[in-house]
Amino acid sequence: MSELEMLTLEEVAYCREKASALTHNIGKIIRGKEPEILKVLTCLVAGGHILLEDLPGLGKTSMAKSLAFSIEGHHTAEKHQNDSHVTFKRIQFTPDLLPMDLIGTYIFDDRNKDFIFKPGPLFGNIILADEINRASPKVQSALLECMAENQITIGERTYPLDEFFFVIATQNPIEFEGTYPLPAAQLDRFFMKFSFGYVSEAKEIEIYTDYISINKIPQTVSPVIGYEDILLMRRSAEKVFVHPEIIRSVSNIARATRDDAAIRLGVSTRGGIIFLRCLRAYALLQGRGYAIEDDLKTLAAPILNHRMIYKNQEETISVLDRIVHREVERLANLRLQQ
Amino acid sequence: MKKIDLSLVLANALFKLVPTILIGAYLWHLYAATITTLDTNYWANVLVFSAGLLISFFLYSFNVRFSVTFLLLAAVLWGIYQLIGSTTIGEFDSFYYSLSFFIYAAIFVFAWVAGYGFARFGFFPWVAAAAVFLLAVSFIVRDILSVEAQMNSALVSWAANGLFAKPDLVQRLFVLLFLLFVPALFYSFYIISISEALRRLASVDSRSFRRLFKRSALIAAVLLLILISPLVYVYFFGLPESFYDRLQQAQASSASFLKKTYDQQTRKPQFDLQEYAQLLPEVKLSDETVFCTYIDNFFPLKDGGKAPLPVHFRRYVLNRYEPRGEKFVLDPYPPSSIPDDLFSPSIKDVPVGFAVSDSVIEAATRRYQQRKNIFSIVYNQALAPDAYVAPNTGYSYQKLPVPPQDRETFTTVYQCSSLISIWNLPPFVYSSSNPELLDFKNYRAEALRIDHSYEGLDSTFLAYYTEADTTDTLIMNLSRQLTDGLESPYDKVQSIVDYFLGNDESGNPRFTYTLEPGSPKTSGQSFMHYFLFENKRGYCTYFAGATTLLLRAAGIPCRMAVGYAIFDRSNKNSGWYWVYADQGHAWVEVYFPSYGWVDFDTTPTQDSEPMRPPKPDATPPEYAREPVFAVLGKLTGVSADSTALLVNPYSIRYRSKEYEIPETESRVLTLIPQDALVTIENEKVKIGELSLEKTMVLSAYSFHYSLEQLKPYNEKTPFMSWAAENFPKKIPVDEAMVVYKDDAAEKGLIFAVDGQIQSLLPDSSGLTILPRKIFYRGKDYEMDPRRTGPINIKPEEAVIYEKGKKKSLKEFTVGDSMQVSAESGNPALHQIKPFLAVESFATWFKNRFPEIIPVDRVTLQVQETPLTQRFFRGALIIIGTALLALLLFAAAVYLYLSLRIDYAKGNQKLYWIYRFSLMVLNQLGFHRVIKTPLEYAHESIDPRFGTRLGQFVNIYHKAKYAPAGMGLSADESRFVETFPARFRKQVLGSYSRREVLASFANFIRTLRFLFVK
Repeated sequence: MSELEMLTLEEVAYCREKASALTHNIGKIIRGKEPEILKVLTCLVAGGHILLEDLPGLGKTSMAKSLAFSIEGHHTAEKHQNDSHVTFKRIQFTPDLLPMDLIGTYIFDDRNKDFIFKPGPLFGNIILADEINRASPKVQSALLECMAENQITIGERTYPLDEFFFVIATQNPIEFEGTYPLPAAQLDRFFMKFSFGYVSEAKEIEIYTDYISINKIPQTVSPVIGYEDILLMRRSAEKVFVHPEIIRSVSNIARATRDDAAIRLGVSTRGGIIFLRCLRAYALLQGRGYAIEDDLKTLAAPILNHRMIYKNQEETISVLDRIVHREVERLANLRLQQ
Repeated sequence: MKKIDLSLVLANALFKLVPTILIGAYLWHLYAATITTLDTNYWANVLVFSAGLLISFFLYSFNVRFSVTFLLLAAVLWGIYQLIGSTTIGEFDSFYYSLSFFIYAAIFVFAWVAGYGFARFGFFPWVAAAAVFLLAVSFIVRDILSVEAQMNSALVSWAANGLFAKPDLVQRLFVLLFLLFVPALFYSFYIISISEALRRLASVDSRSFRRLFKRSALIAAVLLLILISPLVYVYFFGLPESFYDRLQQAQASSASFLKKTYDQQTRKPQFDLQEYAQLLPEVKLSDETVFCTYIDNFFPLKDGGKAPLPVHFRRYVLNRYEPRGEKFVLDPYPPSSIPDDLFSPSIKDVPVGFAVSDSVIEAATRRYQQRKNIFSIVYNQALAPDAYVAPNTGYSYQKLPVPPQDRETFTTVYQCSSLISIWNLPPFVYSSSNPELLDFKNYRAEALRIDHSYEGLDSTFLAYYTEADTTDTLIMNLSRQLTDGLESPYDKVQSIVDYFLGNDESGNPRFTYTLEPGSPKTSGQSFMHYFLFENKRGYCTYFAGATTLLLRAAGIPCRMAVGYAIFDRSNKNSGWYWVYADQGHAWVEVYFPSYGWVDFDTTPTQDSEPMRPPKPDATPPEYAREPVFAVLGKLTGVSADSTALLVNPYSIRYRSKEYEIPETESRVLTLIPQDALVTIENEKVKIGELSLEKTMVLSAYSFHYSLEQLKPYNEKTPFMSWAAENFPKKIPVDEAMVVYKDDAAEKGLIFAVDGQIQSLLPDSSGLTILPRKIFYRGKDYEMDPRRTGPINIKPEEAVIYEKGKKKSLKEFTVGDSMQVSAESGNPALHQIKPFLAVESFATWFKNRFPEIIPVDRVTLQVQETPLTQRFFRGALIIIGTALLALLLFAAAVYLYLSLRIDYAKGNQKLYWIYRFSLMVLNQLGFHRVIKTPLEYAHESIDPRFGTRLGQFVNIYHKAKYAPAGMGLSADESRFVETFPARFRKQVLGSYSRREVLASFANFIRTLRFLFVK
């Protein structure tokens, strides 16, 4: 730990400013969902991907779109659109979708008499993979491979993806017919899985009042943060300090899930590492150079729940809650050392 | 609205309510048993309680509004109560039903509220635990405070008698602690721990259920183990000797006045009567033989024959009535002017052949007219060794040798003389058709009727024996009704006797005899009233007691007597009677100025449950005669051939006359016992094996004809010189017994006395005291202050010890009822001949002891606060201190945390501020429970109080979790510096002072804050 470079106060303040600008900007579209926005951003900053399991019409696409529109794009050769923001691609997964529809394909160039590579939608910054469980396992694994490796290999050539590559996958929790549920090993690739859920009554009325501006995302949302800022935040997040006791708590939680009689499959060590990465990112987004017990409590469920298999599906929440609560209480009652 | 988990509700019911019902039922059992007024149906009570608790618990577990349902319930119950109260069913007043409904309704409502508490309030188990605990403590205190009140709970008295040897308050305390305190403590512990465990669960699955079950089972097992451990101990190590007796005694003590004990050595039962009689719902009597007697009392018939007239054998007179507990008792200290005519010698130690008698009683009784002296012989089979029973009024006791062939059956035989009133008639005379007996009955009535004036009688005496509860209008009215218009006391007595023995309007007996009269239906009703006005069934104590009360209400002096009723069942052996334990009886003695105390028996016998047991009389034992010669003296030696004993006589009884031998005249007698055996401590020992090192006193008796043939003693020469001339040189005796063995060392403690100081001796060298108890040569003697005068004691130095400090008698002033004890090992007292029970100890003491008794040391008995008071006071102080400590507990914690803040350095300060804020908030009822500190601050506290706790927690988190290099900023430090004061002001300021005090008095919150994590 000590070998790591420490965050300066200026860095923290800068990140915090950018993060709140981003949250505020997205918040114009996604109303009353600040905690969820923050979790999405946490995944983004931690360098992971996210799986939203939610009913249709609760703002998943808007989320992804407004996020993309809030980040100013960088001007590289790979730029595909003329807009000022980072590229945003949406792929609607269907059973007949093929991997090449995602990653791209070679097409014959009549002029050059050669095959040229036509990149698929994955060559972008923010990818919304809608209803991921409707596609065949083949397509799913193609996507997941890209997510894991951050590159695409077709034939002999390997095309690197953008450094800023963020997948927001969704799946519909109610209609399971004709779907291919993601296996546990693949779910593990997503840093978080959670639902947006419905908003409160007041917020819903607010949305109905303002739906015109909400629907016009390009007009409502303008970039507030640069492509470079995201990379900067990612680097800063790695320098966030995590107290040894909190690390111990993460370990305790992971171990407890493995020992608990109600859980068949516990959290893996990779799960624990992801948990720590998210803790750091989350702390940074809140303008802190250190993680606290509340971060642990907020993040535990979205990060860990989909990595475990319960014996009895009914009590999924209570078991993890109990474990996390025990650790949070341990930390809260911990006497300050020094 | 909270989602309700059914499994959790069920688990709560099982783990909280079932133990609560059990402990409630247990306490109720003890409570209902100790006070008879609540004698309603126990199981129904428990059922109603359980129903109320469970229904209410389940109802309120499911978001039912309490106020509405409770008011509805109360209204319905009240309505029914009013309805029952105002209706009459047939002739019956439904008051009784409405009352019992009220009791049940009260129990139900109580249980209902408790169930509501259990369902809704997390702290309620604490309340329940405290309530059970206080209840148990109050039981203990209440019982200790009313020790005289008989503990009727079978369980408690069984344990008290059977398992604990010390028969006093300490023992009772232990029993109560054991039977009440331990379960209450366990319940308190259990209910708190289980409710805390349940509180943490969101739902109950089979795993957590097993864990909870294990915990409860463990606690139950430990409790059982503690309660059973005495039994386990007994199983492995056996019952100590004295425990065994107590156990037997406890089992047999259910009879109201019969006392059954067991002989230490032979384990044979011994019967005595209690010195009280009580009204009980049921008594059981044993049918074992107690004694056999020959009474020399016959009614001469004109044809030359004689009809045997058995008379009641009296053991005690119960002269006082205690309305509380409805108990008749032997008053140990009646006013000194009331003459005592109850002869109770310490008969155990009287040597065989010798007699003790009370001349005061004899003289006082001879004053009355129509008394005749009769003698009776009692062959004791199972009477307690100290029990003296004789016809009224007995005044003498002579121990006779048991005829050799009957020694297996009878332990002792004694002959007693009684001056009986010839008006004492056995019950059968009343129904006898013998014309001569009828004539005598009429004659008796005439004689007694004439003796009608109580004028000139000592007013204290009259007041003492006619003391009646004038507020008891029912009995006063009945008495007036029965005696109105009647002139003489006899007619009044006869009217009351007829009331009990006669028939009612329909020709059926008005009262019937039963051993199981039962209890009054209405709780709290007097047993006596129930007997007299409703039930009209009872055993002898009821009849004798009711008669006593009615007579006293009519102003006739009377008292209750207990003893044995004697029935004539033998046609062949006229004058012989067998007495069984179930013949224990109570009757009434009425005072007539000219005739003294005359027996009246108002217990009916002609009933289907006869008092007379269907037992035949056995063959009478050989007639016990008085030995012609008996001697008591110091054993001086043994003859060379080990056949004869050499005795220096103190006292000789010869031909029914007792001669005391002055020491100067004493000459050695040579006694030849049969087979050269001497009885020592109930064992026969050969003379040759006798060790003569210790001083021994021997008693011997003889029936030998050689002594009978002598010419009578002429009383001219001193007896001893006459005896030396006339008695054979070697006197053959039937039995020789060692009655006294000097165990005390030559210079040990020989005499001690407890008593009350009357005055100082004139020269202040000693004290005059009224002795209460005297210890002499290893035995205690109770002294009757009315009989024995004051004695003088003189300590070696003229000092008195008070709390271990010396105080000169010259500076000592005598206060009111100062108790002293004195002890002596003075050699002068060793010179005195031992007390040998040939006379009463008081007389002997007066004659033998010096005028001024030299003692070693006199100690003033500091009036000790009785143990009950001390216990009560101690308990009060402990409870008070504990309560105060609990009330101040929160304040103490508050103070402690404030001090820690002031003295903490660096980041530690933040920790203490954090603890402090949480403590204050917790005390005000804001529990953090499942929220993290930050959530708690942001969501609950800051919006409520406008404080900046959230900000503080952020800083605290920074100090706690940030890397060491990242210190607090200047702003933050300043904020922390001023935070506690501001926070306190904002939070406490939003409450009134009264609310703050009330919150801080809630120690349960403090305990939870400190110990429940």
